[in-house]
Amino acid sequence: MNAVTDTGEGAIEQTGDPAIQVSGLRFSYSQALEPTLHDIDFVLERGVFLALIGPNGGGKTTFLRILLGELQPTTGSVQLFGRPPHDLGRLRAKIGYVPQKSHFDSSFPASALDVVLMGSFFETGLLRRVSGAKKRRARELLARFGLEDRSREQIGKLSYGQQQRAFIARALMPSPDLLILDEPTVGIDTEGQMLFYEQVAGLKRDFGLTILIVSHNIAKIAGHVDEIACLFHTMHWHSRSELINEKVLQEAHVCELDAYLKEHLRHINEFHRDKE
Amino acid sequence: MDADISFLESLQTFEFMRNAFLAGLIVGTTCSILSVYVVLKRLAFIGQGISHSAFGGVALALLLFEDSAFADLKVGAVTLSFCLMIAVLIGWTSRGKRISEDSAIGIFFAVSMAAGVIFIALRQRYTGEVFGYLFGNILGVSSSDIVAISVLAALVLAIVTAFFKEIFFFCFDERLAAISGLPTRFLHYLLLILLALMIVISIKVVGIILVSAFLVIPGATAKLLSTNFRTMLIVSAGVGIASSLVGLYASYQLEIPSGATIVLVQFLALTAAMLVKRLRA
Repeated sequence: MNAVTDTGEGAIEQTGDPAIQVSGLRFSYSQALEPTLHDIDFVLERGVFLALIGPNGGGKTTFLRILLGELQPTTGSVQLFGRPPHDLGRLRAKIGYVPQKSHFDSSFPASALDVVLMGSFFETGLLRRVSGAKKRRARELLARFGLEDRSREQIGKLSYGQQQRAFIARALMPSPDLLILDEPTVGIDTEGQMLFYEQVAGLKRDFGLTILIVSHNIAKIAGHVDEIACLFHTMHWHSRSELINEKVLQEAHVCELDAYLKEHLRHINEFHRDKE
Repeated sequence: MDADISFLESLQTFEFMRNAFLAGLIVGTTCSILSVYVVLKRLAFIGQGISHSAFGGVALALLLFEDSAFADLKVGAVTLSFCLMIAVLIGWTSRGKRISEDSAIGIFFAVSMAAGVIFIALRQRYTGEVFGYLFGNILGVSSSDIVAISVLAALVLAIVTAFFKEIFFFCFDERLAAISGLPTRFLHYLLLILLALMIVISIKVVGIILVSAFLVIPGATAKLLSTNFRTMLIVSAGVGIASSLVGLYASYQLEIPSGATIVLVQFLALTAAMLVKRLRA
């Protein structure tokens, strides 16, 4: 993938910072509430494909929103390529994000190609038109995801899986170094999911991308990822650069189960305490 | 009812008819372009809030400057400042969490109108011409009004063109646009300011109450007929221009108020588009 040149803010190839570095992270939506996230130390090295798993309500979405700079940590530090998420400057183009569900109106008059081109607007800059080279790149990316025949189709008319692929193509437009995907296979059938994960693994191979994928479905993704981390208010477990084998998978399952059980027990305890 | 001279003859003969024609065309076209964004970003209620609030601005301006030199210019400037202020206030409130956006709009809307009613009463004179600000008085558009309308309309179109791609992405998915690095807060205020500008331009032509139709119906009509953004802009502008022309002609022939006639023609276009959409499906 293209090297970042002349960003004026230090090309990321020159610094040795990991893609994501989180230390001592704590976050709560309000002081009255228990923290959604606490005591999180987490490193994602470059070129690694990591699956972030964990039960719903365990703070996966909050964690992503902090990584994307939408929420500020209550305490602790978060850095992407050595810079805080809310102050990435031109580096922002190096982070591609695919939302779980884009909240667009399904009758919005935008084609698949329009959506992919949106990925180039930040780099293109204000008051400038998108270049012909960018348009060619958008078409190539659509073709890579098997959407070359649908590029003129209204985005809302595509199937959910096709929309998701168009949104990945959008995220890839500025040649990012880090791709963050939030539950990308919700609403896609089993066969489609297998194909999808293969495609994402292909992206890592072909573009040398660092990938963080949030998923609830560990079984299907395990064969493709390098590392697995389990988040339930804190990072319960993180397998680093190990072979993902049966044992690791079991541990991952246990982590999810464990977290559920702990939370359940906590509620029961609180309930009894309140009764007393 | 037969008119004494034909529509075209009247355009040749009377300056006020030419002005009315030009004003209707300029306002109809610019509003319909902006209405695409109003519909896609769901700003219809904010638009209503700003336009009704404009009544407070107009009334204040009349109270202060009605009899002074360059009254038209001063009234225009006060109304414009007032509307821009309300637009920014609504924008600011809607970004915060203390009051929900629709409550904020409802409050500004009513309070500004209440203030307007009091300003009008304080003038202690005949209030008949206030009706013109509420429902428009296209035949009262002067040549200097045309200059002001043209300049401001050109400004609105220039800004929309300059930020074309950013506003497009912003309307599509604001959160994704922000994460991608686009200045979404700036775009949010920019759209509201454009709305305020457009409303001030339109007051003399269609009035405070009817301008909402100009800012919603062409866009809503175009959305029914388009799957592509450029088509939607073109269809919307087409609906805006055609309904202005047909409406002006009909209002001349039937001797009925022009602003209201144009709105009814726009509604006919919307109904036709809904039928077409139904038949296609």
